[in-house]
Order: sequence, then C-alpha cells, then structure tokens
Amino acid sequence: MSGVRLWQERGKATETTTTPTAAAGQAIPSPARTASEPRTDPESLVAGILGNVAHLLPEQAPLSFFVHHNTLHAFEDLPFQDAVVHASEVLGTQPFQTEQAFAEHLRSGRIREDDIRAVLAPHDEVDGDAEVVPGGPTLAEFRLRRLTTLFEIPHGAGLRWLVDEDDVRHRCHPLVDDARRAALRRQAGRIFEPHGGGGQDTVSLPGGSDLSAVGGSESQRQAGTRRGATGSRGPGHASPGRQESARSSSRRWATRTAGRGGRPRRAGHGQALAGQPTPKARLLAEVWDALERQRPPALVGAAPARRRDQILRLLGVDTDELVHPVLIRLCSAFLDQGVAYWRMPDREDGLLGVFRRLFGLPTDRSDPVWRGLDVVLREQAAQGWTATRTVVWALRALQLPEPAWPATIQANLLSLRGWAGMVRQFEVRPDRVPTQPSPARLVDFLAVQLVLKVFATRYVLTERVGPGAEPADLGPLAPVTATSAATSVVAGSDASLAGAGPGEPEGETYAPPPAAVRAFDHAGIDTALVYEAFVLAQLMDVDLGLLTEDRWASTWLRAVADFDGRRRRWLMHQAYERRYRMTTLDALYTHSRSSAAAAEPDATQTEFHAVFCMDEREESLRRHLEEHCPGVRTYGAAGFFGVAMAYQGLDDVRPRALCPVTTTPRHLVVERAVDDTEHAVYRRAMRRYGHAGHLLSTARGTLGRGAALTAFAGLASTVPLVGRCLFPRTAEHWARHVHHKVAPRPRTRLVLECPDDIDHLEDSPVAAATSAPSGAASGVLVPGVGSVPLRMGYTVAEMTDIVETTLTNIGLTGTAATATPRATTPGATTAGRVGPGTEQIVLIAGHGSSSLNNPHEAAHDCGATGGGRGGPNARAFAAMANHPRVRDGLAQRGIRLDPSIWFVGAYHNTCDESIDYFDTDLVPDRFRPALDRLQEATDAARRLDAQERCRRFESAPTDLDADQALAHVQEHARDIGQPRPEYGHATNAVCVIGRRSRTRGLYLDRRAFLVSYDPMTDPDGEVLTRLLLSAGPVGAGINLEYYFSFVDPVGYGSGTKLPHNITGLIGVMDGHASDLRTGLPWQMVEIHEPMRLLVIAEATPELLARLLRDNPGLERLATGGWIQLAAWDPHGPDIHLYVDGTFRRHQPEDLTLPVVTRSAEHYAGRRGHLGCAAVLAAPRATG
Amino acid sequence: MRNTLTTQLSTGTNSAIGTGLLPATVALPAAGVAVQALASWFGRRRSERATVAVVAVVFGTAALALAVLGLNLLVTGRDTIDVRLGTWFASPGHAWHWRLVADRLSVPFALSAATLIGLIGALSSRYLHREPGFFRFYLLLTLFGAGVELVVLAGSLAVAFVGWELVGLSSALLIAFFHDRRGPVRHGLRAFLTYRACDVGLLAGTALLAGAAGSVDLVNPSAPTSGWAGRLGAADWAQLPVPGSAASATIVALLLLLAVIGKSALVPASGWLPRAMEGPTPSSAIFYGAISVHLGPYLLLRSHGLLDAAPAARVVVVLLGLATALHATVVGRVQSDIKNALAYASMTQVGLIVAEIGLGLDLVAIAHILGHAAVRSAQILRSPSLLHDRHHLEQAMGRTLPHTGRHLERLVPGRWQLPLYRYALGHGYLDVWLRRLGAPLARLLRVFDRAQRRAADRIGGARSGTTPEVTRLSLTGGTPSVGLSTVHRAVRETTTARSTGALETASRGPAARSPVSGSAPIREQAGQSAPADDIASGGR
Repeated sequence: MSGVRLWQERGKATETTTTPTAAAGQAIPSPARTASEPRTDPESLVAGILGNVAHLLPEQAPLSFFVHHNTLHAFEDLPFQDAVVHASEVLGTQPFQTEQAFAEHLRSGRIREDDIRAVLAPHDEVDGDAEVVPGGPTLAEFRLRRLTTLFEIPHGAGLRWLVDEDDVRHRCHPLVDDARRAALRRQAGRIFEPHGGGGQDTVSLPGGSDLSAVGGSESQRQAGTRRGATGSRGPGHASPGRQESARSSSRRWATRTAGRGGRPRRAGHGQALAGQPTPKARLLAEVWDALERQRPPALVGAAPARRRDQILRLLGVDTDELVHPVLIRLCSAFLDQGVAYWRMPDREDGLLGVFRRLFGLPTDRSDPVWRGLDVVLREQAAQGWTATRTVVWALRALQLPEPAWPATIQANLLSLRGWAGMVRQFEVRPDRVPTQPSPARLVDFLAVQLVLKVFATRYVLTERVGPGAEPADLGPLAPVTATSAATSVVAGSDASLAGAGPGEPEGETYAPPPAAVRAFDHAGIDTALVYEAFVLAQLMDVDLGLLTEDRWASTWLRAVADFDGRRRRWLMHQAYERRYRMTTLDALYTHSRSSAAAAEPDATQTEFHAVFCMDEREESLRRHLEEHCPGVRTYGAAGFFGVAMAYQGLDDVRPRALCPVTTTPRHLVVERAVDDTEHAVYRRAMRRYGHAGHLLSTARGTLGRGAALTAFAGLASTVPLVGRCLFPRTAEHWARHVHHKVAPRPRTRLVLECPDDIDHLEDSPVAAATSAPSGAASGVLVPGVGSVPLRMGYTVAEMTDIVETTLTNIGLTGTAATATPRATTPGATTAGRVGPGTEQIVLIAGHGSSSLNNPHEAAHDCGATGGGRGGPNARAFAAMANHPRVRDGLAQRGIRLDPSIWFVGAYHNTCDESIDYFDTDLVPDRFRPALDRLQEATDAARRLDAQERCRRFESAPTDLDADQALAHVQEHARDIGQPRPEYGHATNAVCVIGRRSRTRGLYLDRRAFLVSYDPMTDPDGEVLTRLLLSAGPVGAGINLEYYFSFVDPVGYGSGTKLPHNITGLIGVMDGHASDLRTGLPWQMVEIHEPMRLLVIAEATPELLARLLRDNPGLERLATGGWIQLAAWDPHGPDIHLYVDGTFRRHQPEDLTLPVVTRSAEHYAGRRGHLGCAAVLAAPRATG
Repeated sequence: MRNTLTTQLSTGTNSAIGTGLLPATVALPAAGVAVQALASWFGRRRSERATVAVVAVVFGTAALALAVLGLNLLVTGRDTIDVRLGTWFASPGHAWHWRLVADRLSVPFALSAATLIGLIGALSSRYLHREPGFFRFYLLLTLFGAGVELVVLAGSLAVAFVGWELVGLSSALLIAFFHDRRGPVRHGLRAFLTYRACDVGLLAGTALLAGAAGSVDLVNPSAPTSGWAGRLGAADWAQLPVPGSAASATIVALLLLLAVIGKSALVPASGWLPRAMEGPTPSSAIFYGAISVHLGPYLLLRSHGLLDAAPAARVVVVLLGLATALHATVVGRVQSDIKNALAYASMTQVGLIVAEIGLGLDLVAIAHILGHAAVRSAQILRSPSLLHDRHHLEQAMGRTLPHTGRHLERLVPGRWQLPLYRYALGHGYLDVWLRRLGAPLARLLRVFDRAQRRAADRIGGARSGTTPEVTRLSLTGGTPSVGLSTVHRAVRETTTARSTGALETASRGPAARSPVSGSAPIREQAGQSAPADDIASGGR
C-alpha cells in the first residue's frame, strides 16, 4: 500500500520537475527522489542475491573455447537425482527422458523387465508386500505394472473432451484385455444384479495366455490367479455402506443419462443396450465418480515471480517481448568480438554506461515504449549511480517488496539466461574472451534489464489499463526466496511430469495454447490424476466395487499420485542404465576370464607403441590398429600428455592454452620455421591471401566496395558456389591444393628448451631474447591464456618430470622402457628389455577436429587440452622424450629409455581421419623402416576407423568399403552444407582405467574412454588417484553435457543447428534474435544414449574405497551418483559396483560374447548401438 | 495445357524449340510441386533421396532448357520468344492471356534462378537430412521456384502477379519453418503482412494499367531508346505497356513501386528482411540473398518504358533506392551477428540496384543483380563457418584483424557518432514509425475482428473467449483499455481462485485471458529460442 502511495508521490514530483515524462501521463519516478530513501541496505541485499543467483546461469565459454562441462555444475553438491529434479524446477527443463521414450526402449528391448525388477527391488524390500487396497495388487506389483504399462493421459481440452463428450467413464480402456474385461463384468454383475445373472459371459479368469500377451509379466499372472480367489468373496464383502453409496451413485447416474436423452451408447464390450447401460459401464461410472469425489485439491496455481508474469496473465501482453529485443541487441553489440564493422563506441564504460549513453540521448524519443527513459538515464548518469543502486531503484519502481526481490531477480536473469550467462563469463573468465575483453558485469546487465522492464511495464499498463494504473495494482508477488522460487515453477513441470503422456511436455512448453485451454489445464491437473487412477483401476487386478467407496478410492488415488511421473522416470532411467551396465560388465568379466593372457603381444614381439588420447573416439582407431598389426601396443592418456603449455603455432597470432581448463599454463612454446627465407616467402604469400580475404569480408556490408565486388566480380563466385554445393570434397581439395602451391608451409620446430638456470621470473632476458609475443611474458592478460606470466619453454628437469609422469601414468615404463632395479615388479625388468636391433617407434597422437558449417567446431576438439587441438602437445612430448638429456635424467630416476626407442608425435583429425606426423625429418635413418611400417599400419587403421564411423551416418550406405568410407568422412568435414561433421562424443558411456591388455580384443563400439593404467606398479594408488582426478571430472563433464543436451534439447541443449546464427563470434542465436543458445546442438547428440558415465577402475574395492575417502571431490561425484563407479579386480575377472557407499560384487547374468575375427564383421551393415564382442585379432602375418 | 498452343514469335519463323521449352520451364517446377504435394497428401513413407532427385531433375532440366533457349535467342538473333498458352479469362474488350516471354532480360534471370535453386536443392539434401520438416522444405522450395519462373517468364503483368503471390507465400512459410517457436512464426507473419500490404500495389497497378493502356501484356519496345539512358541502359526487352497519359503512368508506376518496396525490402518496409533470417540457412540464402529480393528490381526493369513516361516516379525510385542503401549500410555496419549483417548487406545492394534502375542504368543493374545473387547466397551459406574462416583469415593476416570502421569514426563528427550508432542499433526506428502508421489501420481491423467474432459466437453459440483475440495488434493499435477496476477484480479473482483451487471459474473474463503459470516465463523463453522437443522425439 505504501508502495502505491510512494509511486504516486514520485509521479507528482516528476510532473513538476521533468515535464517531458509527465506529458504522456507516464509518471516515471525521478531518481532524485528515491536517492534519499535507503533504509536498510538494499544495495548489499541486491549484491548478495546476485551472488546467489549467478551460479544458476549457463557456464559456457565463448564458442572458440568450448569445453565440455557438467551443465548442472551449479547443482553438483546435490545427488544426481535431486539435482536434475531441482534444476528442472528452477529452469523449467526435463530431468530425464520422456516416459514415452522409455516405453519405446521397453518395447525395443533396450530395457528389459529384469532391469525394472532390479531397480524396484530396493523399494519393494521396504514396503513391496503391502496391498494398495484390500485384495488389490501389492505395491510391488503395482509399481511393476505401472512401469511396464504406458498409456496416454490427456490434458487440458483433450481430457475435457474425453470426459464430457466421449464415453471414457463408461468404457474400458483399450489396453484392458479380454480376461480382465470379463472379470470386470463379473464384478459388476455381482454388485448390480445380486441374483448372479449379470455377467454376459463366463470366461474363467486365469486366462494366462491372454494376460501375458498384454502385460506379459509373471507376477501379473500370479496376481490374476489370486484375484480370482479373492474376488469370489465379492457379495459377502459388500458392506451396507457400500451398497448405499452404490445405490446413490447409480441414481445419480440414471438422472444424468436421462438428462442426455438416453441416447444409445456403446457400452462395455460392444454390447449396446438402448438407454440402459451394462452393469460394467455402471460400475465404471461409479468408480469414476468416487475417484472424482476424492481427488485431491488442485495444485496451487503458480505464484508469479515477476511483474511480467502478472501482466501476461491479466492482460495477455508479454513485456519480455518489448525488453528482450533491445537487450539482446545491446548485449550482442557490447560483447561482439569482431563481427560488426563498426564497433560499439565507449565500450570501456561497461554495459550500463553504454546503455545510459546510447539510450540517454536527447534525440531518442521516437519509441513510445521508452518515452521518458532518456531523462531518467541522463539523471542517473549525472548523479553517478552505481549499477546496484539502479537495480534497487528499478525494483522499487516496479513496486516490489524486498522479500520478493530474490525471486524476481532470479526469474529476470533466467528469462534471458544465455546472454546473462555470457556476460558473467566475460566477467569471471576474461582469459577465455577471444580477442577483445569487454568490461562486462552481470550487475550491469541486471540493471539494464530492470530499467527497461520498468518502462515496458509502465507503458503496457498505461496503454491497456489507463494512465492511473500502477504496478502494485497487479497484485502482490509471492514473497519467496531465491532458492524456493523453484516452487513457482513446480506447477508447470508437475503438470508435464504427472501427465507424462506422449507429447505432453511439448504441449506444455511451446507457444502457450489459447487462454481457455490453459485455464483448464491447471484445474485439470487433478482431473488427469483421476483419469490415470481410473484407467489403472481397470488395468490392475483390483476389485472395482471396492473403489466405489470413498475411502478406498482415496487410497487408490494416493497410491497413483505417489508413484508419479517423475518417480517413474527416475526408475526407468535407472533400468535404462542398468541394462547397458550389465551388458558391459558382463562382457568385461567374460573377456577378462577368457583372453587376458593372449591379447597383448610379448614385449619381444612388440613392433611399436602408440599412445592416444583417452577419448572414446580413439577406441576404434586403437582397436583397428591392433587388429591390423598385432605387434602394436596401444595406450590411452589424457590428450595433453602432461604438457601443460601455452602454444603459439607458426600461423597463430596469439598463444592459447593447451591444457585442461583447470590448469593455467606457465610455459610458452612457440613454433618456429627452420629456414627464415622459406618462412618469409610463406608469410608473404599468406599475407597476400589474408589481405584479399579481409578485403572481401569487410566489403560485405559497405556501400561502394560491396557494389563493386558484387557487380563486377560477383558472377565469378558462382564457380566456387557450384563446387561447394555439388562436389564439396573436390572443391575443398582444389582449394587446398592451390593454397599449398601458392604458399608452401616451411619446415618448423618447436622452441621447447630453455636454459636450466633460468629462474621463474617473467622478465628474464631469455624470454625477451626469444621474442615472446608482446604481453605474453609480462603478466598482462592474454586472451586464451590468462594473466599468469609465461616463460619460454621448459628446463630439462621440467621436461624430465613431464615425460616421467606421463610414462608412469600409462604404464609404458614397464614395457617399452627398461625398468631399472627401482621398478617394483621384477617381471617387467626382463620382459621390458628390448632386444638389440629391433628399433621401436612410440607414436604419440594428439587429436582435434576441423570442420565447416559448424559453429561448435571446438566442441569436437580435445577436452584434455581445454578445447584445443592436441597435436602440438604430442609433438612437444615426443621431442622431450627424444631429448638426450631428458633421457639421461630419466635414467637417473630409474626409467631407462632404450636408445632403440624413438618417439614420434602425430595429430589425428577425428573428423576427416587424417593423421599428420611431426618432425619426421629428425627421425634417425635406422628407425626409417619401423616408421614406414607404423605409417602403413596407422593408414590402414584410419580407413577402417572411417568405415566404422560411417555406419553411424545415415547418409552413408552401409556397405562402404574402407576407402569409400574415408572419402565419405572427408566430405563430411569439408562440406558447407553438412551439419554433422562427426558425431563427436555422442554415445559415450563407459570409462575404463586399466591395462589395455584386459580390454584388448573387446569391441566397445566407440563408447569407452580408455585410460591406460598399470595397477601392478601402483600399489598405493597414487597414480590411480591422479588419473581418477583428471579423467573422472573430464569424462563426467563430457558425458553429462551430452546427457542434458539430449534429454532436453530445448532447455539444456541448443536445439537444431539449422537456424543458428553466429553472434559476436561468441555464441549462436536461433535466427534473427534470440537468447544465446548454450549446450550442444541436436545434430551432435541425436544418437546419444543419455546415461551416467560408468567408470571402471582396475583396482581392488578396498583401494578404491580408500581413494574415495581421501578425495572429497571424487567422493562427491561417485556417491552423488554423477558417475557410476566400479572396481575391477586386477587379479581376476570380478567387478564390484559402487552402490550406496559400498562396493557390491557384480553378478554376471550372461557370459556369452559374440566372437568375430575382425571388428568389421561385427559392425558391417548395422547402424544402431552394438553390444560388445570379442575380436580375435588378425593373424600376425598381415602386420 | 488444355488449349492448343498459340505461338507468336516476334521475328523469324515459328520455333519448335522455343514453344516447347519455354512452357516447360514453368511447367516442370509446377509438376514438381504437384508430385511432392501428392506424395505428402497420401502420406506414405517417403524417401529423402527421391524428393531430392525430383527437385534436382526439375531444376536441372529447367536450367538446361533455359540455357538452350538463351542459345537459341543468341544464334537466331531473335529478340523475343513469345508463347501464348491460352486465355485465362476474357471480358468484352479485355482478354487476359496465359503468356510467357523469353527475351534478353528474362532468360538470364530465369537461368540464374533455376541454377541457384537447383544448387540449393542439392546442398539442402545434406543440410536438412533427418530434419522433421525435410519434405515441407522441399515442397516450399519447389513452389518458390515455380513462382519465380512464372514471375520472370511472365508475358503479362497478370501472370506475373500469380507467381509473385506464390513467391510471397512460400517465402513466409519458410520463414516460419520452425513453427514450434514463436519468433519464426511471428516474423513469418510479419513478412506475410508486409507482402500483403504491398502487393495491393501490384494488383491495383495491374488493374489500372489494364484500364489505362488497354492491356497488361508485355509489348516490344517501340523504338531504341535514345539519350543518356539509351546508351548505358539499352532496354531492348519486352516492356509493360505505357498508358497514354502521364498522370496514369505515374500512378501505375508508383503502385508498382509499392509492390517493389514490399518484395525488395526498401525503406520504409525493410524491417522484415533481417527478421526473415529465421528459417534454415539454405532457405535464407536463396530467398533473401539471391532471388526473392531481386524480383522487385526485375519488375522495375520490365517497366522501363513506364518509368520513362513518368519522370516523377523515376525520381521516387532513385530516392527510395538511395535511401534504402544508405539506411541499410549504416544499420548493417553495427550488426554484430552474421545473419543480420548479411541481411543488411543484401538490402544495401538491392537499394543501389533500384537506384541504378531509376537512373536508367539498366545493363549495370542486371550485372549487379546477377553478381549480387551469387555472392550473397554464397556468403549466407558460408555464414555458419564464420568462426572457422575468421580464424584462418587471422592466421593468414598474421595479426589480429584490423579494426574496421575507423574511417567512419573519422568521417562522422564526434557528437554525431553516438546518435548515428543509436540510430543503427535501433534499426533506424523504422519499425516504430511503421507501427505508428499502422495503428489506425490495426484499430480498424480490430473493429472488424471483434464484429466477426461476435457474429461467429452468436451463430455458433460458443462461450465468449473461445475465439482467440488478435493480441498482437491490440497493443500497437491502442485498444480500448481494460480499466483499473477490471484489473483489481481480476487480481482478486485470481488470488482467491488460486487459494481455493477453483481456477476454472476464472476462465471467463479478462482475468484468465492468459493465465500462464510462473513456470511459463522461463520455459517459454527457452521455447522461443529453441527447437521443439518433437524434433528430439522425431530423431529418436
């Protein structure tokens, strides 16, 4: 009330002081008045709220620094189930797959009934034997039946129509089978025709075959039998009260039918009696009535969190539609990294500053919505208001009481959360801004948003209600706190969850249906519950006569409501995960029992070693390499190979970090041309090319140059257009060919080493002498690296550390290197010794991906290098490991790398399946034959890898041979019309940390992160801790981002790629102007199976349990259920799964594993997800 | 082809090639539409491959036919191939013919359009692979192609009008391609509204021209034009007939110009063009980069003689063109997302082209149009690779890309820079002015709407509020206000309803016009900028 008065006072004040605002009757409070009002300390209140709310915003970096992370990072402290549900309430998203999807999985056999029983078992142990209603199904039966039976629960108008116009209340649901219908008829006959003549037929109840045809469950058949027994007590069971209620309801029924003119109605089983319903129909109707009487009160209508909600509700106008376009344009221009030809002036003032300048211009009067805005902004600017103060002013101007602030601030920020999140990212991670850090602050964003909101609200109220209308007239906002603001959303999500019928969420989500429908929808929530309970009563073996009693109807309703959609989906999700887990664990169990010894070549037979990234996309490449060349040993390590560096390639204009996002690099590695003249020629050619390109790109929007370009050179662009559209691969091939001819790339080396005596000072003469790029060495913030001072290169000691750590991590020291007496396992000492004269190559292969038509290109790069390409890391690592002094150092530490070992770095492009080798000119001659063999083998492997990938592309025929497949994936990478360059991490599901020998020869369908780890050399779990700490969160981040983008492509993902519009070089919008879309596009995730990552570590359960105790971060992941963790016994096939804080032994259920000679046999001609298979590697002769 | 072909060739003898090929170029896309529409109607499982094959064959053949036609024209030295397919309708004194004309103007246009549509058709088979709207996209693309060929090859303004409408319709439907979000639908409607309003000009112009000049069929230019216009713009192609009086010529020309304003997004109706970037990228490329926006200039090229007879209209054309170019280049320079930037770039060049035509530089304009179509569609198709390309460009330059727009900062005096930037950021306030202009009209429409709804309710006996209102127009049109007391009552109702749980009672009256729950803002916002869940389920 006081708020209203305040507003009016301010209005008057404005009239006297500032005439322009008052002219239109739009009383805008003058800043001067409110300036003298702070009583408590609202500004710190706002700051506090902002701090709480900010973490709810998406944490996606600008696109070029895209790194997979857990979409629900903010909720990671909660257990997975609670987190997804809570987030779905706060953000209005989906927590799991839809029930419809689960039903489809059930139908296709992806989920089996065993799985459902298994996930229900813990619940059933508690209260499974209790009967829901007397004589009815037990809770266990009820749950099982409910999960295996999906039927559509209509909503809104559909439900209303069903109830009012259709005979749904008198007719059996189509899912009800014949036996049950007969039972219902008998029940009805007993009640309404006590002389026993009622039932039209006398089919005996336990018609097992019919039942199994529909429900199919053993338990149900049992229940059916029991029901037959209990049902016989029918009439005797009927209490007087019940008879009474039955009579009364039948009377009601009679009047109703009379009112409708008694038209003939199809009742029961096709038996239509004119004007007289069958007993069964009467029974059903009475059940319906009883349920309807007992329905719980409607869910409380959602309390609005913002004035906008109230206006939308009352007036049908969305103020967001006035505010958001302006805000989007402003943010986009403010954060722009170089798309606009003309940069926003005065960006240094911050978002709010720019806003005040631009919208405070006296010329800015044209739009009636913002009338008076300029005056207010000028005054605020003149008085030097801070952003927080502006926020407070705006909240007061909207006449919001302080208790409502948290909710309204949260709702406002979340209403445009993509942009708000990006502003915040610019604020907290300026190192990940591509080129031009803008002084962005979230509070500025909020201030701008709220100021615009004030004026939009005033405008709408004045226009639609009248000049005297105040925001307070809209009614109070619910005083909810930020965290419980969730409740305001519950109603909506509940509706979709409880409904959970096919297509339900869609109907709820998009363009809201006309008012009438929605109004009913909210009232209809419980009607939907009645419907659900009604149908279930028909489906399950319950005495319907009983349900006509209010008491039991209410019990039944409660049971149905308790087992709501959300709970069902969570259970189904667990069953879905369980199926895959069982198959995989069984396969690992079987495989390690049968073929562990034979899989890996003896050390003496080892021809070469190949170290890849742990990435699940390399699984197939490794497998094919092993199949093609049995003499190879492969390893998996985090794709930066321990080399955490800032790297600047020959072409790069600034360094960027190539290391996990959690690490800040301290070393700068630069690529240098060997020959300066070659380099100069190259540079000149490139610059010419660049100038031409730049000219063309800037001529885009200009008047004169654009005209000249289009009018005179325009037709020439038809040639590349035709090429790109019709022959993308050839066109790109020629473009590259010409490019290489014109500008041949010079030979290069990495500048890797720095003198040993350097101290860690940034301004050391060495750094200056080696001409580090300006800023890189001086501690200034470098975009893409950070502000930590960088030093050129590594000392030998540092390099030795890196090489040692990585080799130890992956267990290569036990085999390739000859372990000195320090090594703990005596076996390795002898087995690891390599015979003289057998030169070995160790291939270190980083990976990345390059593609066209893909704003999310960086999302396909290596996560371990922070979304960069891991080639330089591999190259640097190989150079370090080849360094004679590093080898000396290693030898001193007990790892002697044999001189007959040479490391070669390589770069695997996972999109077009090319493999580039680095520094091959440095390889000594004696290693040449080995290198040639290796290249030949990897060449064959990458073709097969391409073939295996192609089976996933629907555009590729299933019978491609390896060469055609290679061409096909190359085309995918280079086509401007291809939205699916590769499927990236899609389908990732499992992570195995252990010796490759135990998984070698097992077909894992490109779904497994494979981290090499040798438990034999790591008795106290030190290495395992390191690996779990790095691979766990990284793998979980990737896995969860795919999970969420798949489960809700609208709320978490960025939807279909087709209308994506790159804005500011930082993100994508949908079409003309929309919120910034975060998450993964649908085309990337469409084949994914949303499951939590199953991490299997080769360790004893005891060791793993200890590690969990010692590392709270890991414990949170595992116990919170963000990953599934299993311990794989290093000495036997047993696997223990971590469930509820303890390790439980996995009981294998299926010990058969298909056996094939080559993977190709397994996948040939098949598109879908494949199970595991044992692959007998090809005979050694082919290698 | 119910009627016999009546072919008239302006020069030379009857050519079987011309008479056969020319109708085929229009009939083929039309047949393509029919085939696809039938296939959708009967709704069998349809193969993407077959659909693409149909479209590729249709436009490939059409392009080939046009190439042959063009060669034929070159070789025989004829000016025009003119095919009459029969009479559309006739009244005493007037006959409206189905008539197609291939000449030096229409053949290059039609050829370029068929080629581009064919190319986009080929590209989209990969681009839209597995998209739920795949078949709809191709149907609309073919419909668009049929419309364009009809406009370009039309031998009479009336025939062109048919094609013009087809283009507008398919265009609006493709903007609203992702119809599960609000933005695309609203922007599709916006484009459609603009088209409808401006096409009044074409319709009225056609009717007036028929009255004033006796016919709307194209006629051969009377004589080689002389003077400065003749030298640079040798418009020796079939022209619209010129009415006798200068006044009616001016009126007709201005009416046609109205149609051009809509179709080519000239000032002041240019707001729809950037908003049209809602559909899949290939459709944006073909419509707003290449073909659709150039139909306006094409119509102006056909009315060269008319403009000659109406110098005032010519001045208006030039001014509008220049204003558009200037406006678009200023606004386009501050656009920080690639598709909007390209939309304004497109608008800039179209404005220039219109100005060139107004100045009589017809040949320059033709070259400009063809070149611009190729460049712009290539740029739009390339736009999702912007990050990739920028990275490579930066590497080639060997430094951070130079700061553009500096000369603009030098050129514009300091105190005008901010206002100019603000002008550009606000898209030139054109929408605001349009809204103001449109408000009275909208008010009028609302009156009709209300009356109609009342009538419908009375007839159908429906409860009030069942027919949805035109909410969008209501705000802009300054509708009768709700009134404070009503709001208070509504607030009371909703609050009590919420507490008692009987929301159904509130379903009447303004209170519950849109009782969206608190969840709606968030979810809806996501929905606005997101594809549908049903894409998800479709993909599963």
